[in-house]
Amino acid sequence: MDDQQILELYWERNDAAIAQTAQCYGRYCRRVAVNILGNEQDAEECVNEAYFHLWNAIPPERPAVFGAYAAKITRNLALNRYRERTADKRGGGEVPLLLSELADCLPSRHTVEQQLTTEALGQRIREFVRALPEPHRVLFVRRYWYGDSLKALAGQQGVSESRLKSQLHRQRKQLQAFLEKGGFDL
Amino acid sequence: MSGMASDVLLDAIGLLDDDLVEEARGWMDAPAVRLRVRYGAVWGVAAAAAVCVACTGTWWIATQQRKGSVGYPTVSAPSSLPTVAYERRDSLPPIASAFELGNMGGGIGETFGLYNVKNISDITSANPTRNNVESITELPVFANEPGLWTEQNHDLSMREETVYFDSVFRERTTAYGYSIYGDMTAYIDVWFQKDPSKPLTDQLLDYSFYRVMSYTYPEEDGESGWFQVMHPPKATGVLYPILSLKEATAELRAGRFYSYGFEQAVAQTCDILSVELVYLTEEYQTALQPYYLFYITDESWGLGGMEVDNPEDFFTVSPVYVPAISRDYLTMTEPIINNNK
Repeated sequence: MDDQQILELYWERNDAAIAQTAQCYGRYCRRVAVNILGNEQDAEECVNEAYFHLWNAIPPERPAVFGAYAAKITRNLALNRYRERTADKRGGGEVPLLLSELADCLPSRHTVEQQLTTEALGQRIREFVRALPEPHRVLFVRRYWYGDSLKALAGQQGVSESRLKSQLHRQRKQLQAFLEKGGFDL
Repeated sequence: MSGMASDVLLDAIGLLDDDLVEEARGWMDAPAVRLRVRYGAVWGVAAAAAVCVACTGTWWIATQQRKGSVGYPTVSAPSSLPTVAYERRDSLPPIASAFELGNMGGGIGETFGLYNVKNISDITSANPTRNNVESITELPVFANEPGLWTEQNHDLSMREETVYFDSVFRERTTAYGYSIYGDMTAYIDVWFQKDPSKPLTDQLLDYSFYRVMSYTYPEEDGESGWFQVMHPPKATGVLYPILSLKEATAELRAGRFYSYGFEQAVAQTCDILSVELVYLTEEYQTALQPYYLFYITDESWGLGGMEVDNPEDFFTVSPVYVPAISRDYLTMTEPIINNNK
């Protein structure tokens, strides 16, 4: 069943939509959640919650890229769940590493939470990512959107983890410069 | 920086457009690629090659002997380097050239493609054949063998102590040229055997096969990177006639070369900045063979979106590789551009 057919099921309020989503995108969404949460059981709960959110969001939404839309909801839910967890000091998954790496990207001499909205930052990051050559763009998205581990990425790319770390380090430095150039260095 | 600020970035990245997320998804289920022993740098590439001839002297990749084994667990270098030999034979079997670019778009050593530099000296090497190729009419070809390169990831501080040649020369070059913001982002060091008293062919082979390379990225709290040690091939090489510089240049102008992909369009108009002979030594090569490495530039390239206050100080270059073996014996195969798709 293709994305359009699945969307039609949602619009018809046919609960087969959930089963079809699980069949077509369950594994994909679960991986996104596992990367963030580092725990299969929590990830499974998170994906089920994502199905519920999809059911409530469609209609009226009609996402152009259904898989990415589902993954995005899953990612947001997983991050929320992660934050709840860390409040209880039970963090896991790749998130602590991602947060540590992303601290490199922050423009100096400013406090992001005071001066930027997430949306404005998101727009600038979107521009940055789009300007990257495809392989570097995919690497960035895989690491910082999907939260893939360095080990997994290195294995998939056929390069060493240290080389990948170096590439990501350069990307973060470029992103930092790009953010500053965009007026985020106040 | 606060963890909260990083958190904002993580959320902002979550706002990437669906098509970007979908694009990267395609890579999620791609089969894993076997870790290749890659030699790294551009020039490295160029250089990275191989074989070595009669490398006299005691050439150690030191480790155990020089330092003992403490803290250096994975180097399996020989206690003394093998002497690489080559010979002339009456019958020369046909060989094929091969060329692959890696998943991350940088290809061999991540250094293929267009680079912004301030001066050609930023990227050219200490290759003894640099702009000095015309006296060489034949070069050995060697059967490739696995494990020529040992990649060391664990202790960059030991890179120099890993080198122990009779006569060491070190070259340093900017690995990636300059970033779009004009920063020098990384550099490559190569330590290799250098003996100017040897015939030029043997100097090239020393340069190509008796080497240690490191890739270094300056960081706020020091530096990171990795280094690689080469193990010279054991197989006896066979001498093949090579193209003259004039013939190789004609091949370049005809677009018959290997490159990242943008260069064929300017084959007839580009300016040639330098030329040298190099060996390619990645594992996918079935035959370790020489290539003419040309650095070229073209007015049409611009600076690729470089955002600096002094664009007049920069220009763009790219390396292209013309197989050097005479076409009487060589078949050029189609390059493999591996973007993991």
